[in-house]
Amino acid sequence: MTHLSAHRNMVLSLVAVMAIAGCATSLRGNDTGAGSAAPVRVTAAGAAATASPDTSSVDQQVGSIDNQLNNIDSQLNAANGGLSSSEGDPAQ
Amino acid sequence: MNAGFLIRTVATLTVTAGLGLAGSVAVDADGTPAPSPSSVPSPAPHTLTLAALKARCNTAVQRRLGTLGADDTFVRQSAALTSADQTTLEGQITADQQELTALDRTIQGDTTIAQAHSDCELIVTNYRVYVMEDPKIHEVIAADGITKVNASVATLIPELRTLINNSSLSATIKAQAHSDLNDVTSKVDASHTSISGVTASVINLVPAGWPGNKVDLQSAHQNIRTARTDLAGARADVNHILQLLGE
Repeated sequence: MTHLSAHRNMVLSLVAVMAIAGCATSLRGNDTGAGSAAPVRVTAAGAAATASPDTSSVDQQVGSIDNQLNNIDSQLNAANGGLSSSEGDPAQ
Repeated sequence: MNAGFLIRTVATLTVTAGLGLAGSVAVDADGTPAPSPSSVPSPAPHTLTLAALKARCNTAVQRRLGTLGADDTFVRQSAALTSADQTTLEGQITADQQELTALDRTIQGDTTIAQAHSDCELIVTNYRVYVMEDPKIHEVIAADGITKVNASVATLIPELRTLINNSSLSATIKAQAHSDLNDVTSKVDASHTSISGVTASVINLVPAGWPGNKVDLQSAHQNIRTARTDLAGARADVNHILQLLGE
């Protein structure tokens, strides 16, 4: 009897331990899921609040304007060269 | 505002000084190729053989054809020129090239030094390639370029306004950005005013009007520079707005 009782108690203890372990795993899993999801949402919300606006289209247009301004400068310098020069006399 | 005023003042002084310098140098240009008989260098007919004179004239023509060829490349490749101005300039360049080539043939066929000398002077007086045609072409390209940039910046203004309004910037920074944007608008308006009529004032200048029409070229040059200075200010404002938006 004593042997059977001890054996039964051991089995019950094992079941109890497994049940506790299972619950713990389940809870940890739930915690992990909730924990990982929450920071992502927080991060996403935080990024949206502080992100710079998308200026890529404007940047592209500004780059084109800079190129045009450089060309204007070249043309102005070339014109200035002519205004400062002499035609000369090829017959001389 | 003070910085803008300072930049405008310095730019104006620079342009004024530049034109003053150009004017003093160009006095030689006014005097050298005058078509009157008194400008014909008396030693030339006596010291140059007919063959040597023809060779000099040919060199003068070829040099001018080279300049016109380079100008033609600028005109054909320019994205700034309006279609009408491009057509006008190409027509003028082509006419000059054909006429100069024909004049060279005439000179090479001349049988006397006096005739060759007289024809050779036409290379200068009938075309004014260096002092009028070439700078005129560059000024038209530059002026049309300014007009195009004005339009580009004008397109940019509402886009920048939307970016500022939709940004998460503080009210203070937004106000600063809007102030910059107002300055961009003012500078583009000023540039538009400066460049208005510039192309029309020079594109049809002809050598027969030289040297009287030199002042038109100088005035156009100054107006283009003023407009360019305004656009430089507008560009700086845009850059500052983009910096604010990036904070």
